[in-house]
Amino acid sequence: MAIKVTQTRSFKTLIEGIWENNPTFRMILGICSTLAVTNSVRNTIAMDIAVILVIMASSVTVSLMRNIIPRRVRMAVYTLIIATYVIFVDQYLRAYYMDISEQIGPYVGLIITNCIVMGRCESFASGNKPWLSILDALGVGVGYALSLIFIAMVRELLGFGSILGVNILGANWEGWVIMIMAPGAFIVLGVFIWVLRAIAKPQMTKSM
Amino acid sequence: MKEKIWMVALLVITALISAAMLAVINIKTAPVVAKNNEIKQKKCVLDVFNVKYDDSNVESVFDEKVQIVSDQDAAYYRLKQVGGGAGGDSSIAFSIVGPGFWGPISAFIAMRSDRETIEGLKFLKHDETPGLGGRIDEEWFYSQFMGKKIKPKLVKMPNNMAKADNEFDAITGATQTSMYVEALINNGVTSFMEKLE
Repeated sequence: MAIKVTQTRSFKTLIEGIWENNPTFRMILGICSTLAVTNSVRNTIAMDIAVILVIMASSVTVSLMRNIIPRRVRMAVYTLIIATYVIFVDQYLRAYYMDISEQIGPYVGLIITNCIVMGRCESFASGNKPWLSILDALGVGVGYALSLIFIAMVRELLGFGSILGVNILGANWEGWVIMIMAPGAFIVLGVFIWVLRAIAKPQMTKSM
Repeated sequence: MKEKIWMVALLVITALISAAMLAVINIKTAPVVAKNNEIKQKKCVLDVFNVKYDDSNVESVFDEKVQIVSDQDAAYYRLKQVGGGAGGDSSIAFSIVGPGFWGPISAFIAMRSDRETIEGLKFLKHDETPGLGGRIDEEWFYSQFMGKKIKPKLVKMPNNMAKADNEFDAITGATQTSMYVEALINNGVTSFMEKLE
């Protein structure tokens, strides 16, 4: 094997989703759920797992069907596929993880409107083989998950003084109410995008 | 023409497969979901009566301790008396439903025998903002209602100012939710008592 793992197409596809095509801070997609669920780390992780499963399942299905879907109805077909998986995940949570479902219930249904899922189906899975599509979906999903977990850690820490429900800042910590509400997510997200873009800047100009 | 037929056919087939999959998962999960809800409701009733239970024995404790009374207009729960007596003056628990900030809030409330002192309160279902209004599920909030009087009227107080026995502490940052809870208890209990009479 002359080529290293890091130079294979599969590896590049996977990494691109996490860094170069990171949905949250590069493409600024999926912001609705980023604002909605990130005030507690626990809920964020549940949401992340749900999104990753839905993206991967949808991408693979679209990729398998890519040669038989007529272009003019492709969006309708994608919507059907994504909706099926979303309801699947929602029902599963409702039956087996009731407490999580009650916390993030409405947002699970809204995964279908998450542009990341539709975006990967349209821009990648519709033109690539299933294996690459899975890796792409996984990469983008993990990229989304990491961004959300980071934002959730900042918000939960400042808003409640805890992370994953474990108190860190002490009992006297006065929670920042704004961090619990959506505007707090906007502020953290803005800073997050700024910092990461500053780090990524040299790479971006090089690739141009 | 052929292409058009294929377009329609593919959509129909995809929709059918999708519907079939959803039907299967619904059949599989519906009983589990129903059971979850039933257990949750029973836990809620036991909580408002301050009956101790474990997650494993909710149903047996419920069957052993609680009696369901269904009047003509109003169904309620009461604790079974030791020795099997009817005991007309014990606490009763019933469900109350009212509007909330995003969607309806439903709760169980237990009233002592004077019918104006709260024995316990617990929320069953709500759509309040997680972290703000959603904190009505936290113990410090719902447990403060024990011993409060709804007459002349239960009133919310800001900034931990609740002192009198008809006052309760609102949630900071969730004024609306606190107002809805105030209305829920006042209206819910009053209208239930009217129905009972």
